[in-house]
Amino acid sequence: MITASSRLGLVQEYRHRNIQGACVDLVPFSMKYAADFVRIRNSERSRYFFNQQYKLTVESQQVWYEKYLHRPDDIFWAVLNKQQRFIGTIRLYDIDPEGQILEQGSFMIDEEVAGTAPYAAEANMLSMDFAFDVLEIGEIINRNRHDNKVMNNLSRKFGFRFVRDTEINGIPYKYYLCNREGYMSVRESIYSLITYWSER
Amino acid sequence: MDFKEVMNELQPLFREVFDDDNLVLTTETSADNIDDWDSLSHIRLVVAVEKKFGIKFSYGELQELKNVGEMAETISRKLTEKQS
Repeated sequence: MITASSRLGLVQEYRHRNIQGACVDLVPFSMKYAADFVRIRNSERSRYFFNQQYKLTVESQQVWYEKYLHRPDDIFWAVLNKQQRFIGTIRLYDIDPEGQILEQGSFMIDEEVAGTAPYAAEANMLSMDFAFDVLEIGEIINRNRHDNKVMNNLSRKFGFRFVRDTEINGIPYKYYLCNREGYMSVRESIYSLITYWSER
Repeated sequence: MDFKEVMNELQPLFREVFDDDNLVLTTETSADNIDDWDSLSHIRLVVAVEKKFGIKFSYGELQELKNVGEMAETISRKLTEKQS
């Protein structure tokens, strides 16, 4: 069992350290990815499912990023493919120093490439491995817009259990929780799929 | 294997991947028509198709696929190329 200070120390460490997968790498987000990030986040689909009423800009992302750097309980990753092309993001935030819970979000993969490899599956798997194995977190929260079929399906397939309907800024969302046991019950089949793909 | 034969072979495969014995494929079937079609099931489907037919889709081919009809056409073409 790791201590609260060790856990926050790990968060800081992994804000400077890559996590390598077979099809993707999770790389600490930096402003060099901002233009691509903004491009993908401002797609009609992304704006709808992130309930984003306005278009982001590199400048607005700079403001956000500078605030992010001061948060001790938050890791925001750029998802890169093996050609080191930026293809999305994923984030673990509100990381409880005592290890009880954190929330996963900012999860998006560029629609242009999403169907060409298990990018979403592996990015999700790597972040959840990190949460449960490195941070030793008890549970992960996930909230998806109620009509986000793809993400709601993905959450369930990764072991998240539906807890309740909720609301964010007037929009219905589904609130899910996942513990280690729930995740481990599905991890092997997902890992096998990714391994097959990486060796094809 | 011609297009029609490929479509017939895809039917049971789709039913297995999406765990729906009542699923009926058409050439227009796509992620828009099947509730359980997400990024994970998409990859599972591609892997199942590749194993079933002994083919590999290229990155470009995967990007271009819009529906089951296009998938069947691509599979049929690749099988023909394999035989020649």
